[in-house]
Amino acid sequence: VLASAVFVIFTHAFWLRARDKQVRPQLAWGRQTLAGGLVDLTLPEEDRQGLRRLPIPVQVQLFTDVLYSLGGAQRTWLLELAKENGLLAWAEARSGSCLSWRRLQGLRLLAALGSGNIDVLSLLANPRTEFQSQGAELAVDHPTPGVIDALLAMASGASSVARFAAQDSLLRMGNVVVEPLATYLSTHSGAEAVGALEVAVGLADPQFLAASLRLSQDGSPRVRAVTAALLGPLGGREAVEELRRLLNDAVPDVRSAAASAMGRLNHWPAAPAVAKLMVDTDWTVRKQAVLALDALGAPGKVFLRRSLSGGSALPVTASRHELDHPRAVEAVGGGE
Amino acid sequence: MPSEMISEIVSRVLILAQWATLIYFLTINSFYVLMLAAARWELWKHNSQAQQSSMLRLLGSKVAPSISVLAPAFNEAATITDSVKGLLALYYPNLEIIVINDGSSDATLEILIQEFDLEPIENVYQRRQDALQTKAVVGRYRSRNHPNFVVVDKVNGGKADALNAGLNQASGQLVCAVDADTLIEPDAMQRMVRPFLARDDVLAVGGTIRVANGCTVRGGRVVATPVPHHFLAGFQVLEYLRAFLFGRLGWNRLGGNLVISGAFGLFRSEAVVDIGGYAHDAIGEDMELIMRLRTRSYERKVCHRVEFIPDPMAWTQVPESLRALGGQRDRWHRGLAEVLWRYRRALLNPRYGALGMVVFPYFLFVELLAPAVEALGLLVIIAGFALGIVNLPFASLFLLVAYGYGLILTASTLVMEEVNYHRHDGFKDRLLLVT
Repeated sequence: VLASAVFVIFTHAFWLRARDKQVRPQLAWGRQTLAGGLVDLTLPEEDRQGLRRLPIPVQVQLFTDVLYSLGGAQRTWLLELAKENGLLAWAEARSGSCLSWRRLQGLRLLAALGSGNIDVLSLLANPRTEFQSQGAELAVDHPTPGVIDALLAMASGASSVARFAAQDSLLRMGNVVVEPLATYLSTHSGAEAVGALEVAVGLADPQFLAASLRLSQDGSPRVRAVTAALLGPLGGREAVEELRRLLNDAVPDVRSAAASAMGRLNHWPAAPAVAKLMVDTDWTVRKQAVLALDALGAPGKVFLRRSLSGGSALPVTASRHELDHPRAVEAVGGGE
Repeated sequence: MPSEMISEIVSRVLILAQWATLIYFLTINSFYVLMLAAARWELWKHNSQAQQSSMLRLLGSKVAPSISVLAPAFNEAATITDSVKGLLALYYPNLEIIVINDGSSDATLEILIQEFDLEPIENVYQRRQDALQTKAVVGRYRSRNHPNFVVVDKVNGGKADALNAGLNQASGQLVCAVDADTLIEPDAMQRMVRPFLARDDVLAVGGTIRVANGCTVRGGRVVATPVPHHFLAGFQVLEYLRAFLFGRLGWNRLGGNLVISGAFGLFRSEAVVDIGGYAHDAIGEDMELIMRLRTRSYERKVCHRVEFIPDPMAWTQVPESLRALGGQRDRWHRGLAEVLWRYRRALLNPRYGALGMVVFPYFLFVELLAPAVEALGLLVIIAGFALGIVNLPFASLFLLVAYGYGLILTASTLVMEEVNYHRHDGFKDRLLLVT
């Protein structure tokens, strides 16, 4: 056994060195060729053939290295080139393999290429986390109503698996998600709404307003807190009224989120209400109140300055911190 | 004759002791085989899942969880600049670096202030009601050049106390505890966060720690990784490989890990604060924390996971003198004994699932008692020789099997390292490891 182990170690070392010797120049040439092609989106025929002749794993590495950081015409051109070289067909074939690691490999390349015939819904329904996550990643390029509903269920459902992938994909899908998300939020509440609300905060579309006004009265503090965070970027009279109410919520996390949202909204008439939270019993609320007052501009600064002469030590140090902050000093024309 | 009777009794006791040693040996080594198989399976599974998965997606994500890196520093003037530079260079979108100067008597704080252009910040941000109790914090600083870099200066109170002060300051959803002299690879955090993204019930994740002695470090990054020529350090390279690639990886499948190294571990912040942070009075505060996280989760009947993943890597200096090594191992062993005693209620208690039925007994009977059993075995052999009851060919064979078996385990770990990571990349380094 020992002899075999030593044999494996050194054979592997030799193989690695030989492979490195072969692959390194190929990768260097490939990168240089692709970089040259990306300048004017053309490639001489001999270079195209040269790329085609490279081993598939080298091509996969070349294209995936570049694809993730490109957009627009350059990405489209590169994708066409990848398809022309047979990478798409290779990835599709792999994604149908009965070996799970090969399937994952194929699916990952398809996600990088952003195309291919793949049943995203069945991937999302797969019991294995890695396939669900991969399905969610692929879903960005397949934004059908069924897929969006499945992602929403994943993002907010009872299952604790692949929530990040689902939320991230929904955010990347952008506007196409807004309508189904608004419908989802209007029909769900409690724990089922949290994940979807977090996505809504990232998208912040006015269509979420009606649902957020309803959810701001939800029994779950977590839902109310995320809803407060959503109301901030939505804005408008109704949102402000609701945020004012949430500033007095019984749960600190909700008050803190509401204060933060007021700051984000730049709703200066709310400064007195936010200033009251500077002496809140909860640390997070006090911190958010101070930051919100700072964000509210001159009216907020007035309250911060007033608190410097107040009796409570906490707002004094908080205010001093914010007023001494270089950003704040600049805004009010010098500290005291 | 009484002397013959005594001799007879002693002989019988020795024979019984030999049988006990043999059974102990067989049980342990059978478990090792199981663990090796589990580690191989886990490594294969991990690689197939991680292969070609895009980490760039995480970098550009609006929902990537925020991470606070907590680095307690006590008299680290010589290495602190490189360490902080390494931490600031980590590829992660939502990162906060908190160095806790635990009452250093050298120039650690002054160097930090000078190197990173620190300015004092007010204490208001730390007066949280649920604050963990720590020794007095005398100052807080933020870097003008790196707004995500904060230093907490406090009265000396030990590592656990410093980590709790860091937890009070941390704003991240996840906290990463590192030693100030640990050098973390730039993409380690992206790799380490993956289990948290995949499942909501993951409480803690550990990464691999490797030996930095002899490595070339530039700008806080390990750029060349030769095997150290110093015997003790080289020996610890193998030991660390065995501990991480074989031991901890195997535990993922056999009941979950009990140890996430204090030098490099990522935790769900809420869960750590919820159980009161690090215990001040524990010798092995990292192990105690994991034990507390796991026992509490079992007691509350909450699904939880403590995982080890092999590809996030951090590099640390190991002792090169016998005295320092002995001191370190003594501390580790006392820490283990203390934690096992503190949580003895979990031993063979089905309420604690795999932790109580598999992990705890292993750590008690193998990790804790193995040195005592080995010492006993040696004493028995000496006494056996004195009484002339040792079967020499059998004893020699047994010795060869025991050490040969250990060698096979080490060789298997080296193969795993070679095939998967091959971080010691030269032929000479490989030769040094094998020999």
